[in-house]
Amino acid sequence: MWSYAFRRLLQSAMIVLIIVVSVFIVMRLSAGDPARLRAPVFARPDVIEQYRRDFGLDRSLFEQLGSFLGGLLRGDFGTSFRFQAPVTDLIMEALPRTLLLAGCSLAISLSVAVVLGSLAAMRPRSIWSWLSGALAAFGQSAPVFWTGAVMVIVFAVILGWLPPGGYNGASSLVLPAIAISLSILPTQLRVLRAAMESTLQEEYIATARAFGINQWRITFVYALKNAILPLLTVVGVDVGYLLGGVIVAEVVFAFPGIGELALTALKSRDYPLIQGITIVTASAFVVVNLLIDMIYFWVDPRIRQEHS
Amino acid sequence: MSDSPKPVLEVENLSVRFPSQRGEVAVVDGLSFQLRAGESLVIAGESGSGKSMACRTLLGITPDSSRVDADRLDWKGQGLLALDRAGWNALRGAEIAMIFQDPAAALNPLITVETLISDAIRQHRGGTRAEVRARTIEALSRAGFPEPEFRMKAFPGELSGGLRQRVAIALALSCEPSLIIADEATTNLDVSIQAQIVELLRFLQADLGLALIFVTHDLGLAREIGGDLMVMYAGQAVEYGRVPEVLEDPCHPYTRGLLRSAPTMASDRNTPLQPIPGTAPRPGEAAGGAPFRARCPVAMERLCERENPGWTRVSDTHRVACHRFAAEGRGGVQ
Amino acid sequence: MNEHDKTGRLQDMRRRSFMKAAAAAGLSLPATIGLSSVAGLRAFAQGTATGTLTFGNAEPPTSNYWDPAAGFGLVDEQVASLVHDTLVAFDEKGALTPCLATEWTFVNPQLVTLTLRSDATFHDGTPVTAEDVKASIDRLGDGALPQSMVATPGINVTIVSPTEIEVNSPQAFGVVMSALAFIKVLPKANIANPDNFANGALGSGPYRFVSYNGTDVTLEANPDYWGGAPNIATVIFRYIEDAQARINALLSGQVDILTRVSSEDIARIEGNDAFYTTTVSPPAQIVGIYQHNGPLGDLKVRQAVAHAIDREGIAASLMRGLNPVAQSSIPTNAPYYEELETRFEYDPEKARALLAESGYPDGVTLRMSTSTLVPNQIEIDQVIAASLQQVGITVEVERLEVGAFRSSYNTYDISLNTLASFNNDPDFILGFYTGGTAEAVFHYSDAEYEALHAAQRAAGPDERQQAVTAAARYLWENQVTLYLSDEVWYSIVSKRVEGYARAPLVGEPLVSDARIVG
Repeated sequence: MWSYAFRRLLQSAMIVLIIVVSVFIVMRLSAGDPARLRAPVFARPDVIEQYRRDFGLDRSLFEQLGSFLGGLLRGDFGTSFRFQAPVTDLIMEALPRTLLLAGCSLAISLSVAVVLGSLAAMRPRSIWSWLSGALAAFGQSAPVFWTGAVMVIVFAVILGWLPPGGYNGASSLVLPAIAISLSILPTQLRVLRAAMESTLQEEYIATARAFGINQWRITFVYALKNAILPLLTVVGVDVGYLLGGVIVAEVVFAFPGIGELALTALKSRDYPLIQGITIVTASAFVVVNLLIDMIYFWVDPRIRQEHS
Repeated sequence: MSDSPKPVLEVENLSVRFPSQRGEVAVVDGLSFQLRAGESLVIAGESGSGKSMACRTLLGITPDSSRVDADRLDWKGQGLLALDRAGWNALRGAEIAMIFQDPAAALNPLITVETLISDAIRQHRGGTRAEVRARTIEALSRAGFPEPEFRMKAFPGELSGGLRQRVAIALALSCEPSLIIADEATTNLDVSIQAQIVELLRFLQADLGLALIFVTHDLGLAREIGGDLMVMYAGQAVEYGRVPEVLEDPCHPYTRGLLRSAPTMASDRNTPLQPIPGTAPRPGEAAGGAPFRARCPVAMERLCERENPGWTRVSDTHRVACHRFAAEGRGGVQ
Repeated sequence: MNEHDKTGRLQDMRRRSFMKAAAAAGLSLPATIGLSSVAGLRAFAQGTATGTLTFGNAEPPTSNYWDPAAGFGLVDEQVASLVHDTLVAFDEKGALTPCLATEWTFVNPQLVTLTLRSDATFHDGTPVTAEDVKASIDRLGDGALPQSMVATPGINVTIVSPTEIEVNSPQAFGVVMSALAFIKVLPKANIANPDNFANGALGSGPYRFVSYNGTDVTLEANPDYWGGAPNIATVIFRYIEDAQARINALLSGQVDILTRVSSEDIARIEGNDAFYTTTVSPPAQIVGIYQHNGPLGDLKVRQAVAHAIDREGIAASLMRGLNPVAQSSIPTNAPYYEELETRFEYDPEKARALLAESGYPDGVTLRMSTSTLVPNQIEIDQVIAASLQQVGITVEVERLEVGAFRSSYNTYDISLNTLASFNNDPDFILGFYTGGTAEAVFHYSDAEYEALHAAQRAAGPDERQQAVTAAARYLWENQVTLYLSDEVWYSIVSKRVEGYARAPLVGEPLVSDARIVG
């Protein structure tokens, strides 16, 4: 297993490197001049030139790439054009908040998907089944910016129960986490419900029933262990969305996370910051998916056997 | 037999019906039998004959869409059809336990052998952690599972087919039931292991005084198990008797066909195997006449089409449901 | 004047507001203006500062590098205006008041003498000295700092005594007091070691810098401020990217003041008693930037465009009447604004006639870039394009993302943008059309205008009005660019904030007089 993990890790590092170099090149080929964007509107040309020199943009693409990769080897992501601060500091400021938000959103959507999806599969003609269908349809059709805006108006502006945005303690996580979880819930719910329905048809579930095992234990232990495996794959995809994305939710809720930072970086063509964020999110995505594979490994003895 | 104790299991006119496009169809139709403690009943028939479904009614685990009816379906005098969920759960595993056909499918791949068995024990017998563990080990060793202390942490996928079936048997034994239903329990095993498992079941039956329902499509195995034999076709019982009686004096054309098509009959070793022509009817297809009529070499044209034959007595313990036999005796079905 | 405390400063401002003529001239009296007679009158008891005032901004600081001379960002200015002192300051009406300088004398356009107060200290406890003032001003005279454009090349300070300084400008610099009201006084130590600017803003102002966390810049009251501790304990400048989120933050009480709001925001609080709107704005305008290296280098074409576009109509409809339309090349709220005689009224017929007389009698094609930098930019650009099509000018509109737009606007014939004066003086806006900036921004280079610009810059108080109008008129009559309308920077203020006033500046230097109630 460890050699497998190591091989995968190496593979992942290569993928991240390729992504980062591509971003490096694409950024520099695309429209928008960081020096102009950093300088005040209508700045004198010599001020803009000075910025260009400060940013090292007067050097050849090859030189820039070389010093960027050299910096990477030393763990130095460079200095943000926009903020004039180390990229590492900026990311370390925003990333924990996004991780917290993403974690909460994932926890909420997973709990709801597991509980509601299981109940719906267990009792196909119950209120749970109806609720799960309705929730999935709602999450699918209502975009985050809409649900987010509605929730802010209702719970923050009208009722005043929760802050409308920003990041100021746990209460400011509630609305964005719910809005985001609503957007990732439909797929999770459908996948889990379908997996649970087919698992409940399995002979080993009949066995468990035939031995008088409590139906809750059958559903939430015996069947869930099997039905949750496809959900893990979905979570792997969701994590990518949560880390790279959430931009919409972060904007709607003025949540100072990595998405908002990325947006600012993009707007100002802050190459080092964009590169840094790309590295971090791509790595996080790759690592989480690696972890999920490891979880598969750990949960499912069949996969363990295949690889041993 | 009349002086034997009251049967533990009494089944009268049991049927299981499913809704279909052509209305309700019966998968099990008018089945009646009894079983006394320590006795065994072999139910034989091709796949699809309703054997497994009939057994599942005894555990209340027929599919949700099915409808189970019976004039009587009593376990130790208690009507099973009136049981609620809790009643069933108290019975399942503890009074009646089942060994499923395919242990690869019947054992949850993600639950260890230990968890599987101790869960059942905890459900029915309770006890401390250590007690449950001890009972688990005991059940496994009874079932001939080697080195249970060390190997019970294994997942079913890590075991051979034979060991998996022993796990299934250990599971069935774990809560000391009075009746074990072995549903094609040896079908997927190779012959030498099949023999071991049958041997084990017979031993346990004798040792623990269990009643046993042994479901098989292989009449050869019936001889090994002994007791009563019920031959089923298309959801109905077509012949019923003591195992030797039926095997040596098969009175139903289907029983005879089965015997000719089976490779394990010692008496027929020199004759070539003769499969029964045609295919088993789909549920509901055979309704309204003799169920076997479409494939029967001696079917009586008008009668078998129109009328379901009732039982004809062969001996005190042997009966057959066949118009031809009723009309012409053994000669008619030769 | 040594006892000139906060209250005194306030009194000065009120006093000054009665002296409108003097205020407009700003400096006409050899000013012994910091009247000491009111010293010692404290209008309200010195309590401890309480409450938090939170501003909601549509943009974050431009960097984590707190050198006020390094840029012209909205938040940079807000922070700098509270953390740093200037030599003199503007009040709500745009009149000059004392600050670090208690008295000043405008000797001539090349020389100002000032008396410094001796009781000011930076937030780290070191006193503010003439050396610090000198370092802060000299660097603008010799550096290529972005804010050098508010000063003249070579401007420098001569220290006469620890409290007496002279500001010298090799070029005549009549606008020097506006510059001195804008230039922040920084510790000499930070200027010598610019890396210190990365650690936060350090000044001698009423608020001190606490932190910046990517969203909030947090300031706290400076209890030792020479003008007396401010009333509000904490001031936060919060960045909220999304317009909807900003107004929601205001409505739910998370934010007390929204800066530079849109007409949509104002519509949202209409009829809501809890808020009011301020209109004191830095002089700012919305312009259609022309590139003079194409068809718009032709005067007749530019004049034709001016007549083809219904500026009043656009201001009334798309801008919902919030932005006045100027009859000059500078915003109506700029000091020295004068309505000019030449009208470029909406008249398509006249536009067609002018076009026929131009170097492009067979019609002309203009490339226009549009984006979302200016409020309602896309809608305004649609109207402009349609109006030009009507008079026979073909317009190819290209929509760009903001970053691409800002980087490449000068490769399109027309693009909307905003111009604002940071020092409340038209010189700032008139300066855009000169030197390298004009070449880069407009592809424009005009010796005649350079002379006019230099003249208004050099003009002393008595000649200033005439000189500014001459320069503004030149730009206007030549329609060097399309002067669409003013851009009033409206703020929405919660009534929880009492005594809040704005100066006609980008920053918020008057916050220290406000208090939080309820």
